[in-house]
Amino acid sequence: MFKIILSRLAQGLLVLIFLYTVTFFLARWMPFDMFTSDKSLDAQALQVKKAEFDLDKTYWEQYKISINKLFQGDLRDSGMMKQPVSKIIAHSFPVSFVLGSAGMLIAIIIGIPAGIIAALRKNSMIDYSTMLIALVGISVPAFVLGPLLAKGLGANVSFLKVAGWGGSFDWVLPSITLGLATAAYLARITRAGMLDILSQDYIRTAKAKGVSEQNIIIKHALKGGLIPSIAYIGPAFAMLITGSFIVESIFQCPGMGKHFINATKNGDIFLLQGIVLFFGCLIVLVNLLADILLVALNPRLR
Amino acid sequence: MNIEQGNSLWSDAWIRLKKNRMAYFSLWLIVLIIFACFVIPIVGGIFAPEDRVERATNYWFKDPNATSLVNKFAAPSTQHFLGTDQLGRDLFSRLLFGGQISLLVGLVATIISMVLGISYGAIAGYLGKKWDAVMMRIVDLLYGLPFLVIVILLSVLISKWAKEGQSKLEVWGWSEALINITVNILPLCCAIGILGWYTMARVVRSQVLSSKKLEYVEAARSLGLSHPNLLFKQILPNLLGPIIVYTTLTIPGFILTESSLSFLGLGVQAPNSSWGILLSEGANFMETQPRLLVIPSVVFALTLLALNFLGDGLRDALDPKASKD
Repeated sequence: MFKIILSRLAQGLLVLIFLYTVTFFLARWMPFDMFTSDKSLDAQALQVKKAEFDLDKTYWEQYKISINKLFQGDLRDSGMMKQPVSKIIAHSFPVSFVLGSAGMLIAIIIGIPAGIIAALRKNSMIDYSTMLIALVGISVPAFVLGPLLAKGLGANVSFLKVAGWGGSFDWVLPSITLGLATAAYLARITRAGMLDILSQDYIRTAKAKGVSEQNIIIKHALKGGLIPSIAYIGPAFAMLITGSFIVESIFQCPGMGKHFINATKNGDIFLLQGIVLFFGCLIVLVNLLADILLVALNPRLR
Repeated sequence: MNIEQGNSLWSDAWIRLKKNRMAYFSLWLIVLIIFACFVIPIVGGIFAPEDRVERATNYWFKDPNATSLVNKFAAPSTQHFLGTDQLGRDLFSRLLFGGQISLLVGLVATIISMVLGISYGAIAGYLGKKWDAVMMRIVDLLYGLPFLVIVILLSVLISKWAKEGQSKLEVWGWSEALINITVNILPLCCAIGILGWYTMARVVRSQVLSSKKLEYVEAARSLGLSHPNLLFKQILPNLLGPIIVYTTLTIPGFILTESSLSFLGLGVQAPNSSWGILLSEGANFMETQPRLLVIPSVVFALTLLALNFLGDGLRDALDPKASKD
């Protein structure tokens, strides 16, 4: 167990170094930087500005400075927003986290029971219709679902707002939009996992022994059948937190996705690097936790 | 004398696919959508009158970029089959041209990722042992990167390079349309394709790993065939089933990626349009002109649904063992 965690940690560290390096160079090779749109600067002022962000130095020197500052916990300042990147992340991460967690919760509440029921009633109408709905859920993208939900629910239910952030129910519509596609995937994975377990010999043995169907499902089938679903939840959760750009832009939530898109469009390199590194850390952390949980659940992996 | 003809794997699979009504229907729906997006605009363009006013008023297939402020938000009519948008552009022709770009990006990106994934996975599986372990660790590492984030950054970079090379293409005498596709569309395909091959590599690798121990490969090896011959001519053709299935399931995912980027304003740029752009524009007029959002949404969702259905159906048809559950 300890060995697995250690090797996963080492692998995660490699991912982060790789990610940071790739982002560093991608950000600097961009066709524009944060001063491109500012036409008021003359050549000299531009030099001064660039020096402020070390952009006049060679890539290698910039990289060394960046890494040095990183180890001091300094993510530098955003050029466009004139604020420390760490502060921007601290302000926007809670929004993305709430959206991602609520979305994941919705996905689990809908997806797993739907998948279990479909597997138990294999090849019945319930199974077919559940899987049809799941496939529709996968095929309808967030930017179609979001506006439709906003129109259908947001316009009719008084406490749900179509856009904005700050009210106590503002997370509802974006989270549903975010969670439904994941719910659909989860339902498919859960069904496949359950079917796999239900066809195993030990389930047949239990049936032959006269164990009631309820007991078979709860005590024997669920334990093994849900392992693929749990394996999926980890990466999916990381993806929901770090990939909510579209939902955030539809419902105008001030999350990290919005800052990332703006940073990319404006060439705000330090904000870009900071957010991507933070995303990377999140993904590594969530995946690590998921791995630990999986090993704890499945003794064969130990 | 009558010789009983055995059914090949493919004819068996075809029969099974036909029996799966949803998948079979999806197949024809996809054929129809491809036909509509590629054949209608070409035919409509060839027979279009030279005069722009003539085309805008009397011809059935409008120029997708011709604006007309008098005609904005026109309701569907015999003039404009699906009405017009906020700039008076014909929604019908914009939908078809947008579909061209969306389908093209999905297809080209898939081809790029398939070539990368199949060769990487096949080589890893064939070499086995240490090489396999190292190569698959690298894939694990790449899996840890946030996909959409890197796609966005990479596509910005590649399109910069493409724009720098544009003058060279003009010197070489490429046609305007070809340059447009190379400079504005291809970078996006490359970015998605370059980052989307990991799952394919895993699928192919595990298949190669198990099938290289089979007797027919053993026999081919004892005949003294070279390694590339063994891998690409003997082993890979037998993996066509899983490869086709996974390819079909990849295309809708990539179309979705392209549309998401276009929706955020980071994908296809004007004057080109894609379904993602139509959807993001339509979302702005959701309240007053729901038609502008609903029509592209339905076409878009139907396309993805049909592709996903077909992929599922192909998996059942080509791998009957997996579908017994």
